[in-house]
Amino acid sequence: MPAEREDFPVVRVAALARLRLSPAESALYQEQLGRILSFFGQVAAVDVGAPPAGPAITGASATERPDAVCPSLSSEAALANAPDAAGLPRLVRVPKVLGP
Amino acid sequence: MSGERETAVAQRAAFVDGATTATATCEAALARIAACNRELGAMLAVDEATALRRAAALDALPDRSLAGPLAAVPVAVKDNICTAGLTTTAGSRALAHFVPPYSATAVDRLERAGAIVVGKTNCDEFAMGSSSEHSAFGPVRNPWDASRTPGGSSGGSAAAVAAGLVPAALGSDTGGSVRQPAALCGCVGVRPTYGRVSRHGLIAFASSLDQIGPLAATVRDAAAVLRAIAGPDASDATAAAAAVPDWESALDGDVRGCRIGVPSHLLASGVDREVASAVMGALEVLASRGAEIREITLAHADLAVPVYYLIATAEASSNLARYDGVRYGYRVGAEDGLRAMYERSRADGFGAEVKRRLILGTFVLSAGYYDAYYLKAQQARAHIRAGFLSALTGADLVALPTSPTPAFPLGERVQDPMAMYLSDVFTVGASLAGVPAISVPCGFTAGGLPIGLQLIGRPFDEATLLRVADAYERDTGFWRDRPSGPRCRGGA
Repeated sequence: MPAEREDFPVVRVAALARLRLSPAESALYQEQLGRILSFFGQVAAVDVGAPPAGPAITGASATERPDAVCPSLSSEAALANAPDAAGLPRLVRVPKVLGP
Repeated sequence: MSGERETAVAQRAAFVDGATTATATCEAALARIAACNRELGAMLAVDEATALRRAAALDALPDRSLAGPLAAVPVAVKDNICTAGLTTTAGSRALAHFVPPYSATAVDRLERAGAIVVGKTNCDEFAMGSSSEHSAFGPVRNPWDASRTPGGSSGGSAAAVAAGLVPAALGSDTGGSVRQPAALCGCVGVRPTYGRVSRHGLIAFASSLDQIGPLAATVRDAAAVLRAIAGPDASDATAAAAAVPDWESALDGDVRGCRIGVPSHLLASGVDREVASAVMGALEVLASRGAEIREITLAHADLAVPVYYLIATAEASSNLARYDGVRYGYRVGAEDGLRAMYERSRADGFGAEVKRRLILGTFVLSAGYYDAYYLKAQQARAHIRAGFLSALTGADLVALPTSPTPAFPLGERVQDPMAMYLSDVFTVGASLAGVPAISVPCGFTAGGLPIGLQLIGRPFDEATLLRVADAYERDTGFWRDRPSGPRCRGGA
């Protein structure tokens, strides 16, 4: 069912998107996204019928390459942009995941 | 308007003929950037040392006649396209210090063709926007009127070409992000057929829609850049195996018998009067060259904006899940656990428009809403594509304005996302259909703002698009005008 402006579940959806919003942001997005969805609801309401037969939506078919071992990035290069990997060969540091 | 633009084709010819050196051409571009960019905001990074080193290597070639098709041509690259060793931010605080370990295939191919990448261009964050105001590093200003936007999201590339900083640049087009800024800045912009150009190294926004495309002063320059970057690529399974034609040699000015369809039902309201008049005038020019203008209908085109935003935001919510502050990108340390680190890093790393789209995209993919929004949009997309393909059986091209309005004032739509989304009303259709399209300058408003004509073609028939756009350009020559405002004083 299309969501209405006043009941857009912004806090729940932001949590699903792993975004921590301020109260001001939540209020702003609640209003804006409710309005946007009211407009986009025309898609939900229209009966377009089954998609027509034909090629894939993008019109492109995937091309394949040989399943062979190829040169790739070194671990050092791949992790060179990691925010917290200093002194950790082939590892990154993250906050503790499991409890005490 | 004053001062003639320098084309990529002319710069390459001058280098090959020995009339100039790659170093001199490169230094001139760097000088123009130094003179203009502070006020224009078009470039986020300039790699002078590497550019001059590449230029010197070209100058040292024993036989310049063997140099590549873009030899000695300075180019700029949108900052959501990876360049090895050169910071690539996608206009986001989340990637403010990201230095890619590899270059995009399109960049590698440009350099193999002899082009010299001089720097990276500003853009809406992760290419999400139509005004280039949603950049973490400040807005881009339109060279024709600095109080207005250059369009977006490839606004930095369009402004750089329009101001004559470089003759050509790469942009990316998801829902119009090459064509709309090209129109608003008075240059040529091409969205290739989906699959024509590899997306390897393009920072993903909406993967079923994203395409890299050229912006250039002329159609011939755009054709030369497109030919350099197009073709299959083992690093992108969606890059099509289609042959890459010699588009430049097919630019013969002949449009006789070409059938151009006009969906007048889409132009009845919401189009600026001067834009509509310029587009109709352009069609008369093509008719006078022998093209046949006919009325057509584009089925379901009225759904294109909502369908585009439902699909693009859904794909963005998936693609941008990778920015978790662990392997790369902005990170806020959190003592209260991994999830808190994710949420704070993303909240601080992303700007307002990206967050708005991620919430919308997550919502339309969530349980209870997927069928009503995302699935329905996918079904409608198939009908929109079928509508385009059907229209393109009775016509060789479809003609539309690129943008319903000329360049709008900075700040006018930034607080009204719905108004910003409707800026894309004429460009998102071709994106959803996966078909190629071009924007070519077709005049100016009374206030001196550029207007763009959009032509849309059949899948992998960029040849017809380029040929007709080039023929139009020959008769009109709007491309010759360059902005002469204070923002470009000192430019060569």
